Amino acid sequence: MANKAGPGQKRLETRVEASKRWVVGLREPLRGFLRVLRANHLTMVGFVLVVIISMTALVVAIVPAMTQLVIGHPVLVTPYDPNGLSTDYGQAPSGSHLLGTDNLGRDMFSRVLAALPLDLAIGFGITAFALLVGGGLGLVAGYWDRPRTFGGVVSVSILRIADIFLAFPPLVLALAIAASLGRGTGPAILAVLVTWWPYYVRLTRGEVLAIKHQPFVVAARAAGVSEVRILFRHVIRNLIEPLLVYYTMDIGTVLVTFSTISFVGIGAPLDVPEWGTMVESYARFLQSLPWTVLSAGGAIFLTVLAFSLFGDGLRDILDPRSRRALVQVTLSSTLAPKAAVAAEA
Amino acid sequence: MNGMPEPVLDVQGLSIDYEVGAGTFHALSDVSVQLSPGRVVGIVGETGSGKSTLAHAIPRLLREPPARIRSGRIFFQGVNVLELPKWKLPLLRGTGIGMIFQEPINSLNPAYRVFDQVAEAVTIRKLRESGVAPTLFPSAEPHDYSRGTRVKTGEAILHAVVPRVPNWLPSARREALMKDVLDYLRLVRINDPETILDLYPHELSGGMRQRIMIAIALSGKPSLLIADEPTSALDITIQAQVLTLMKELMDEVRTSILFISHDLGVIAEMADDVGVLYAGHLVELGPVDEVYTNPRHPYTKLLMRAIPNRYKRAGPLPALTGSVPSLANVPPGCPFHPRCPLAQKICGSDPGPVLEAATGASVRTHLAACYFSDEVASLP
Amino acid sequence: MITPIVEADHLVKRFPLARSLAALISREPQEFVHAVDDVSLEIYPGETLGLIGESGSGKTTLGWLLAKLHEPTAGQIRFEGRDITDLSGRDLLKWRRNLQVVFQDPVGSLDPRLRVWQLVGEPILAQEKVRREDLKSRVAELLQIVDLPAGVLNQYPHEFSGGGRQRLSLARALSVRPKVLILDEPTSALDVAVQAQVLNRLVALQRELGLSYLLITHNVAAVRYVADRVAVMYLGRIVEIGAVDEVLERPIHPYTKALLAALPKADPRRRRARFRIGGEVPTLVHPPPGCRFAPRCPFVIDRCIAEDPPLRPIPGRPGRAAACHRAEEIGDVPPEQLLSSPENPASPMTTSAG
Repeated sequence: MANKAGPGQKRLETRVEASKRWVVGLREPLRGFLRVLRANHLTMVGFVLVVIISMTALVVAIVPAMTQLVIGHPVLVTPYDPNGLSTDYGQAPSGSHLLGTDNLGRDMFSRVLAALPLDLAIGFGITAFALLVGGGLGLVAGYWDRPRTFGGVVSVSILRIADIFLAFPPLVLALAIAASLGRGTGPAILAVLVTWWPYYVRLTRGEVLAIKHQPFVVAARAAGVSEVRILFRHVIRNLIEPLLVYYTMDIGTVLVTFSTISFVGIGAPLDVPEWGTMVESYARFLQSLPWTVLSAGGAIFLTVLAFSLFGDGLRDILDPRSRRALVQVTLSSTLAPKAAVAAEA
Repeated sequence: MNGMPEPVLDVQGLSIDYEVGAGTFHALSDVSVQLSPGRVVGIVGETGSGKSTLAHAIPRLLREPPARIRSGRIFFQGVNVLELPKWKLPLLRGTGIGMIFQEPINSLNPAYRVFDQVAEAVTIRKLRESGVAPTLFPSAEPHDYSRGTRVKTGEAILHAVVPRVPNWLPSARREALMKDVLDYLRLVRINDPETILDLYPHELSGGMRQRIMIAIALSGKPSLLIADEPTSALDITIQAQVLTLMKELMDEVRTSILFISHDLGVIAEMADDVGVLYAGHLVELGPVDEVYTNPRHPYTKLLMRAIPNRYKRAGPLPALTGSVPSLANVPPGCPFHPRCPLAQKICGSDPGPVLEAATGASVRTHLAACYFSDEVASLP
Repeated sequence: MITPIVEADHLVKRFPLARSLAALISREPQEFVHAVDDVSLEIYPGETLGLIGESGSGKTTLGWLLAKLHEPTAGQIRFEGRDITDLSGRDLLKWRRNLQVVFQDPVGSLDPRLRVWQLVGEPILAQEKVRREDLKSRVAELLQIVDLPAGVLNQYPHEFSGGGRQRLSLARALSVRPKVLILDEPTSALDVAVQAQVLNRLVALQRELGLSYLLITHNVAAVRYVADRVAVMYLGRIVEIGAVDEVLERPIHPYTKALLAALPKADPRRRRARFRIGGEVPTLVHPPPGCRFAPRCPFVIDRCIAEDPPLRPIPGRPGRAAACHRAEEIGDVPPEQLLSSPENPASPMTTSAG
């Protein structure tokens, strides 16, 4: 296998080998991924929706900015100007207006699309931030929690502070913080952020505790692996899966929370397109122009649904066990999972 | 051979598959076994032999997808279990068929105390005996109302909803059950059972938990007891205690037992007859003395030889080559033929003579699913 | 006089019991579980020392102490004559290549997210810098040693059966060419047929690589086959030690006799035998003044309850030691006597009234 050529040539070959390996390395998890999707239809639906929604958000957000740079004026992707008033007010959904128009003649489809980037970014962003902050603190609280050490004291303090926040129902707390900070998108984001990080502390700490005591961690220690390496190689690697699953499903909840703050009137100002504010402003048209409220509310619903469905199946996708061995015979322990059994001598 | 009592359990040609996304697992293939009243039949097999499937199939405890009963019949006291409607299945269990599982910490409810768990089983039996609750096998004797075991309908309904008898309820029922509960705990040789009544399962030792499991199973007065690896999770001395207990109970209670284990020694001590399971096939069946001293199937013989019972200076252990096949890839014909030193061409296509015990007979004949069983004795 | 490769000197390990807040406030003294209580033993180079006992005997804790996975509460551990009790930090990591552990749980001891070459090669990576290709080829060699096909390098642990995983653990332990292997219940998750294969391999490897083994198990048959000497543990103490055939065929200590009597034998005549040693193995929180086996011992006399018997050499039995006051008297009683059966109806309790 080794070609003993000159050093320069060897470097070239290794580079080619490396990239080939990379592609080959991708192919296999990809196949497993597709297999899980095929097996689980709901997850596939969720995944497809997530992809569509995310791509659309990207397009709606980026194209105007890009064209502004290139051409000089933004090209809107939406069929109509989201804020464009017109005389076609109160129109039911039709060929020219897919979701109808509102009381001021603005096209609902365009409005919903225009709000997509902000709401999606909120969902991704706030949750990610909470994950990083809360997860980091949870990791510390879980890993260095031996009593009567400095780490133990820190760990307990983190937990107690998190507990204080967790004592309040999340929506109530977020509203209270947002209200005290004043109106605006920024304060609303901050409110949700402050409310959300404690959940990740608890979650991460629980997972870390479980992983820490697993036999394979002890085995690694016995093998002479340094503590730092154990942390990264074993603990964090095994942590990613549950956290990512929780994160994906949490996106929807964060989105709803933020929209609710806007709905109540504290969050995004009225001129910023946001689904929550839309629902609030169209609430009184529920009887007369139902498509207005339903469009905005439906957008929230669909997004949350997509991420929940996908997140649910994410566990199966990430776990190497289920990627290959789709055999879980739930009987007594004497029936071990048997899939591609490697030959024993 | 008339005058032979009807077998308590008659499994005929049972074949069960598990259908999971990745493939079909043939857990049992054409297994037939019989159990006469008062006898103990042991089923011995390694992991992946299908023995647990057999244990769970008889009281219909398998979840029907993914399990699929491809063919066969299971007669329990003359009733074909496989044809019973779903709502009648619970009636089969407890008073008809009792079960003891491997890990008592898993099979005892961690949220209820010892008294409540045993009392629940006793109550169910009493409800069925008194005719308040339906049962599959109504008692042949007319009910004697004067005996005071009658349970009022109102209490029966209450019990169905609230299994736990609260301590603070000055219930005559708790007192009425107390005697039975204590009797059964003493039956399993727990001294001073009063002291453990209020304990939770996690507060007890493994041996104690298993005794309680046995007490619960016996309190239903079942005609058939299925014991699925009941002592595998216990320490050696505790296992010996529990096995001794079971032997004594067998003398006293005379229930038929289907005893499943991977441990050849345990089966030898407990069973009258033994069946050997390999990859879902029953390869040998016969009285335990005969099978152990004179095995007629190559697998049985090689398995016994592979048990380490020598010092290393005597040389390497005669290990079996290869490994147990996955139940999804059972070799055609005789499942053991790829590893069998006596294998011939026919073994790849023909699974060997079918072990069919004649109806009504107990297992007196020693059968092996191998055409070359006569040559097994000459294997070193 | 050969230097033992591993020596334990009066090792003690106590674990504190969790205390309720009420106990903390009322200043009750902290209670401990005495997992290992004053154990001394030696393992000689090239030999296998078997350690048998039931749950609660402390054998696993002792193994972990020797592997430096626990800090001893008291006592000393020596490796090749050198005191390693206080070894820590970098020195400890470096030392670890001398002694590796094969753990009991083949499922849990392999990280499900790592592939075979990463798992088996991990100890090597911990000790030296190796390139990926070299690591993979070294792992392939190791796989061959444990009878696994080389093509499984990229697979995950869950794709292997119990026996396969056990071999992976073994390969991992052997990767840094240790001198001592501590095998913690290597056969308990395996079927009989697979056990035989694994045990054969272990014995062959010991001869080929000159390893010393500490075999911790409750599987007496495995010990009989692999071990040269065996120690029996009960409640944190060694109650008997000696050559394997001696101890298993002519046990001196009543607990050893009970253990051997309790083993199920594939002998149908045993159906009439009844095991009469009652009682459970308690956790040792309050060590009694006398012998720990006294509550269950069929040969107990008053002296046993008052005085704790030390582990002492037994005159007339070279190389053997047992912790029993009555060793000379009852040493020759065979384990079968502890069973009552139609041939032996009197239980030992009544026969040893004297």
